[in-house]
Amino acid sequence: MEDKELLKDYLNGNEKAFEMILDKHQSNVIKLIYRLSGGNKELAMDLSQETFLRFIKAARDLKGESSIGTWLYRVAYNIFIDYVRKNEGEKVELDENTVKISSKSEKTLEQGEIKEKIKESLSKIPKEQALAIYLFYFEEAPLKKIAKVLNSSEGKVKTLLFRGRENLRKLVL
Amino acid sequence: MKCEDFDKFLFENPKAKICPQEFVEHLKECENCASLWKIQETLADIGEDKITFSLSPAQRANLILRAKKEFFLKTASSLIEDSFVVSLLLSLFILGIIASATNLSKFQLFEKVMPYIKLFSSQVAPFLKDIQAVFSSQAGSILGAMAVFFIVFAFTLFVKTLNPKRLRPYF
Repeated sequence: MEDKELLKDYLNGNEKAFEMILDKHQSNVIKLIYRLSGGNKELAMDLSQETFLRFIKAARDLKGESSIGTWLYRVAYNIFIDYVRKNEGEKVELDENTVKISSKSEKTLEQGEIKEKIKESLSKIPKEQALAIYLFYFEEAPLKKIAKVLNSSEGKVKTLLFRGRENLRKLVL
Repeated sequence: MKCEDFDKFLFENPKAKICPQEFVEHLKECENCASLWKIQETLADIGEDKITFSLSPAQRANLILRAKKEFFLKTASSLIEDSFVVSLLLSLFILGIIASATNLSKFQLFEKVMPYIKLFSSQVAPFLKDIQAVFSSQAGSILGAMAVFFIVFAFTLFVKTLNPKRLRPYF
């Protein structure tokens, strides 16, 4: 069932429609926060719940949204950013100039290790870059959708992906 | 082939999994570009790892309960809004009829109609007389108008809740 139909059903009082929306999108929302937080499952669950609570409150204003998934990603990302700002401040927010170059060389790391390091390092690069990389590579979202989530252009998303990869390289290899 | 060309290639093709032939030699010579390509390859590889998560049953149940509660509150508020508007219009209509009846009495038309009403019902006639008496004073008119509004409002609410299908969706 399409998101628009589900939303319409939900707003018309069909209680099952909300459960369907929840089942359809919960995994994606949790995964996004899980990856951005560097694998904090408990935090991912809590912030995902907060995301769906926002959806419940704002459902009537979402009639114009083509995809609930895009809206949920955007809200989940904003909730995560708010959480980071409140709880960790600047500690985790590294910019391009502060990314430390890993001492390990590429040759000493196995493919599996590189994968794990990339997953961990996602929480250490600027959040917009991490979100773009997560959506593009992990969720295989098209550039257009990522641009909608970030409220920006496809060109900006490409730049974020490029810089994100560069920062990951500095951290991982 | 230069690093800038490879950067441009990666910028334009963020999902490339196969390195074009023209860059193969460059990657052997340039460690920087080779490591960037390694990241690109690994990222594409991670995308293939499919994991799924779900909220705990308690969190899920809590969200469903909150959604139901929110829906109930929104529906209740739209029900009250709707009933208020309908009652206001109906009350104006009823009060208009009462006011007309009171005016009719000035020309003793009310008294002329009364015998006919008495013919049909001996109980309604005194009730109409009482209504006329209430609306003859200013304070009585205000109280009477308020009473009419609240009676109509209560009745509209009752009728609307009897048939939930007729409720306006809350958006």
